[in-house]
Amino acid sequence: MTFSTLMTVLLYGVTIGATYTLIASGLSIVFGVMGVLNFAHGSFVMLGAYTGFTIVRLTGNFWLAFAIAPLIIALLGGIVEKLMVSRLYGKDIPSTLFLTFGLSMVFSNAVLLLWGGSSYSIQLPSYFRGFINLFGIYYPKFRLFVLIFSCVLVGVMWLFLSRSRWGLPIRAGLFDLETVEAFGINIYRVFSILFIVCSAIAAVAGVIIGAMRSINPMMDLDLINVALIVIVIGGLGSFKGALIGSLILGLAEAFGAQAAPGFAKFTTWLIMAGVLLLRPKGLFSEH
Amino acid sequence: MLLRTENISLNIGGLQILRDLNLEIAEGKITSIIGPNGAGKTTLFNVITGRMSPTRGQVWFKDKNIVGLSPFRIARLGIARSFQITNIFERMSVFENVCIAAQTNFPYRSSIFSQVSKDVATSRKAEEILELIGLEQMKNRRARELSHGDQRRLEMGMSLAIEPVFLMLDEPTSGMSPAETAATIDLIRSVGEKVTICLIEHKMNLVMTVSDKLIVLNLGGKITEGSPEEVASDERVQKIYLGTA
Amino acid sequence: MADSDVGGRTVSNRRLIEAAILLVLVLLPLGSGRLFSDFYIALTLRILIFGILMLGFDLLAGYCGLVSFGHAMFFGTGAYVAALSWRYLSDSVWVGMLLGLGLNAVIGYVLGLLVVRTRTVYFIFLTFAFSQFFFVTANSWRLIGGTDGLTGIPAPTLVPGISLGDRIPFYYFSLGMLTIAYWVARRIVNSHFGRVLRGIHQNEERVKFLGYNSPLLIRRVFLISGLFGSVSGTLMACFQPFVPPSYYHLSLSGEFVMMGLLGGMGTLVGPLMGTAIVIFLGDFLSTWLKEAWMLCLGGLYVVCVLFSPEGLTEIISKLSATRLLSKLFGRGDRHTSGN
Repeated sequence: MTFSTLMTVLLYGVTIGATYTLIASGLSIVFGVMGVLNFAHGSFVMLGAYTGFTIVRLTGNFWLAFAIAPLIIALLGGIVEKLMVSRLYGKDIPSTLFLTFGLSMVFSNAVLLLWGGSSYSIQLPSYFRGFINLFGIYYPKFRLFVLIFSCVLVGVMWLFLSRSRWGLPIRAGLFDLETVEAFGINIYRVFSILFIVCSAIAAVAGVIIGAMRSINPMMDLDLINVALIVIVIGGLGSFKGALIGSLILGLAEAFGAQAAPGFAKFTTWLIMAGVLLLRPKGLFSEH
Repeated sequence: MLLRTENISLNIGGLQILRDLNLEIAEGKITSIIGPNGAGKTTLFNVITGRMSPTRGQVWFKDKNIVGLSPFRIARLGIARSFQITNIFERMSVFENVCIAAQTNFPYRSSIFSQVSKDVATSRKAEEILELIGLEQMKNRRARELSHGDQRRLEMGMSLAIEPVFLMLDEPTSGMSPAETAATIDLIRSVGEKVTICLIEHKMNLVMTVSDKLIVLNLGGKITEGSPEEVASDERVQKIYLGTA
Repeated sequence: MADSDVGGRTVSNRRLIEAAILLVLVLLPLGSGRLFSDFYIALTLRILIFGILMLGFDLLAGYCGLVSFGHAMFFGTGAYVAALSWRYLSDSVWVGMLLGLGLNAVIGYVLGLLVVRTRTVYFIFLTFAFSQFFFVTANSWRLIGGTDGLTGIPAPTLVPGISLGDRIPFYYFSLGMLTIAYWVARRIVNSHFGRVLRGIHQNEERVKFLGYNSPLLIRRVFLISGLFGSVSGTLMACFQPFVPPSYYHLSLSGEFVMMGLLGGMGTLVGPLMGTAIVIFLGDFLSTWLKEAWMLCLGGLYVVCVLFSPEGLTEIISKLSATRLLSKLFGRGDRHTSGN
């Protein structure tokens, strides 16, 4: 493998990893703080992608999709949280998984009814098409944008969690509700807002994936699968774990596809199995 | 000596919870462990029953070092315990709570092939225990429907049902009414005729009347030990109890 | 879930209902083609087949309290191994079934050693992760068909001369298997082991301090549960002459959880009812609502999780009509099965 292919594969891997971080961190935070294992998180990504796709087709404006799809999904997330998820706070974690599994079935069927079974892709504006020359490496322009944008978004989330007034209680997490209350914060409002924000970020990731890869009615399962693997590797409820886990997974996918096409998924599985055997609770588990 | 601890120490995160405890528990006697909150009484129970591992030291039970054995192995040696917070099977009937303990005495205790309904021996044992703890009227009630006092008795019954050699009771009368406490004292006395008992207790009148020997702990270390009268007249003990009161 | 029989239905009452259901199932093929189309036999067959797996699922999830989110791995392995054996080794259904059971016993044993270290969510994750391995393998291994799976599987024979490719012998074979599975599961539930399982579900710590080696017992129930799934998979490979990698898929494992929850776990009957509901209702809704049927089924399931976590058996046992029935039939023998 030459140096430039190595760098290219590395770039691809980091870009995929950065997108996965957007998805997995939401799943992980919602779990860590609220004790909700949201299987429908993949559905939010998928719905974001489809909504974005429709907006681009209607208006022709990519940025509009980028802005409005997350808002719509945030609204949906808010409704789901208020009507259903909130009823299970404090109950056992498996039942939140069961509930959201049912929800994901509903969403997946709704997508099939509204958009049909075909595969689509979100149309990119012309300046995002084609490749760019990065120090001798030809890299798709849009992927470069995705990489930068995701890094910025992840950075903002990181700053929020580590610096803001809310960050500490959020990081204190589920098992320390009393501490959070002591901060004088209405915990149920934090829950609602977190769920909504995480849904919106999932939708952003959906638009990105819809433009970078494709949109199809099975993507929710694929993505929740990826996100679950990431947090199995990284450890439940840890933002750092989600970040590292996503990067590992992205790199494994990229290098796996390069070295042994067809066995790319094996590499991810091997990593997951290895981590589970050595550290059953993931690399950065906080609980 | 039935049970002997040798220089048991436990450190957790720089805190010394137990320090060099050398205790002896004589066979056939009722020994009580007393001391203010945080003295390490329950921790000591946890170390003996395998729930926690000591940082240093040994626990000898009938000349066998039981440190490092898992709780179920220690239980099989004949050490039964009850918990400070009631620890029963809430959604099973009172009868079944006792049965699940009583069936451990038989080789088919966790067999797939034996049928519970045909097991007369366990049922008989369970009936005996229920009579002993006075819950035979309640046998078909769900355990969670019992009063707190009855639940504590049920838990003691479960510990008795495994036919232990050594019974460890962690505050058996906590939260009980005076009448319930009196009944439990009688129960402990009658059980104590056959089984060696070690109990953690706060109610001094109980401790003084039932115990053959007292061990006083404070801040993880042993202050003194002896007969109830000796301990009651000990200045250091009075200081701990009166001084902190 | 998995309560003791205090205040529950009497044993004799339950036996009566069991016998009645068995009778209906035995007589069902007689009406096929006359009272209803053959299609309903096929539908019932699916219930019988998945029912076997669900009984095993209930032992693990309902009685022992450990929900597996990867039970499809046993199902898929049972199907793949049987299909391969029928193609390459022998056309006897028993060879395929035993080989499937054998491999699944190994899988159940080895994975049991690993999953036993975890509980609740982590147990869900680990079972999910390992079933992923099977899905990925089946998908990429050319020798067993890769993404297409195995197709054109020859129909096995029950004994030389009786092909299970014929609907009626296969129906009775499956019914026989389910009956045996139910009997075995009921015996396990009523065994001393079964009692300890319920104990582990409610309070594992207490179980340990009574002297039980709970990890060993969990491994045992995990393995047994997998064997039920294996039989189920073998029958499915017989029912449909193809085995796709989706037999290992997460969504199938999720469906098992759904069937269990809809019916009510820890009752054995509940998960069977759940299976019947999902399959019958799924069919009914799909003819009535066309593509929107999953929407309704998913919706029903969501409502069930939110408002009746103990499943439909709980709802039914609360209905006064059933209570009346059990009073009528239960007279005379009021002993609970726990005694």
